[in-house]
Amino acid sequence: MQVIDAVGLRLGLDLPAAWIDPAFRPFFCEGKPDAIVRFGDPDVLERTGGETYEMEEIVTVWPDAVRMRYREPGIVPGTMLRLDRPVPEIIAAVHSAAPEPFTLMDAVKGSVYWLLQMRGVYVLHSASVLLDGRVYAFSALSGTGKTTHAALWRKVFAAEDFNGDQLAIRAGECPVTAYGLPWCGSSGVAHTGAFPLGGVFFLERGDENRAQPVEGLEKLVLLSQRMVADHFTPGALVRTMNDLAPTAQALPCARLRCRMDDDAARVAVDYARRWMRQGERNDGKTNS
Amino acid sequence: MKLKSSYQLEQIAGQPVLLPQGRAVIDGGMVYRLNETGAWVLEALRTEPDEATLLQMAAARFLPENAEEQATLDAQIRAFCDTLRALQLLED
Repeated sequence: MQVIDAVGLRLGLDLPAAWIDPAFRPFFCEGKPDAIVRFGDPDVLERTGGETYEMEEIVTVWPDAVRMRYREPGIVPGTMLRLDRPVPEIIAAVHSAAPEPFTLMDAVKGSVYWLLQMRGVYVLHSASVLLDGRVYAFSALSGTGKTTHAALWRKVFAAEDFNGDQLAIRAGECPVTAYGLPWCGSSGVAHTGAFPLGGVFFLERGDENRAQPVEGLEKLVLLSQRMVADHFTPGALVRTMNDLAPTAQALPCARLRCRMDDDAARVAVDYARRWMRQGERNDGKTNS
Repeated sequence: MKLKSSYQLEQIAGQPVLLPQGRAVIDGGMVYRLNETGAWVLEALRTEPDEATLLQMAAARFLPENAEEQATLDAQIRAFCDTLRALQLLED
């Protein structure tokens, strides 16, 4: 069985080799899995009871399992995460005898992130780049221009791509480190490394290019909101926010109101380098 | 009066806040920062007092020294409750 390393979670892929997205190969590792991905017939999703939450996907939670059903089921109508097994299992319901690898691996992502959150690892929905040895993340709702802004950093400053859609952090780790994940949306950009997280820009479209610091509770709320995480089960939001409070304290964040032009990258990089200089003055004990 | 069950008074990093719970999070519920007095009012609402009782509890807590201070305190507590009602955070 192939095993991948997702921020220290060793995930066994008990799947035919042809079903595994080639983009996951750089994340292959050795060792006994902490959780296993299998496939099953769609009837693995049949179970009554539980508490259901309707969002982009429909999540039903039992004490021993979490089901995620997709609104556009396609060939993978959903997944069932079984927490009652000696090694937790993510069972992907598959309609097809030959599912498209990207679709299959994308479908299990929500269950993997659920397991990661149980281990104190949170996933930030963001495009991110590597510059001057640090990762900078651009977070916003889909369609705001995260990918376009990341491309501007590449073009103007020769920044390297880190991940086109998400990065992971460990709650309570200070300075905060950005960990690469194999899931990267449709970008195909997924760095395997781990680097200091230089800061997070919350992107907004605007007529001017301007960065403003975000501090205090607002920063914690924005960071928490942008995590692909369980915020909705009883007590989850307060747990997430308390988990992320030390991260928010250590991590510089700014709102970046910007156009999609080269100057936007210059304004943001100038701001990011100020964070870096401040971090160096703090002997690297915080991220800024 | 009481706080709607879709919100809870919590401490985040030592700061009192009102947090949405469960479906209220999915429905775009806001996070509200509170000062100490606001947190005290929301704590007092756990006993589901009517307005007159809440004002008596506030008087016992903040000890106004004269009628003018009492009137100011009453007005401020009522205004805060009106704000909570306007935000649809209270139920009777």
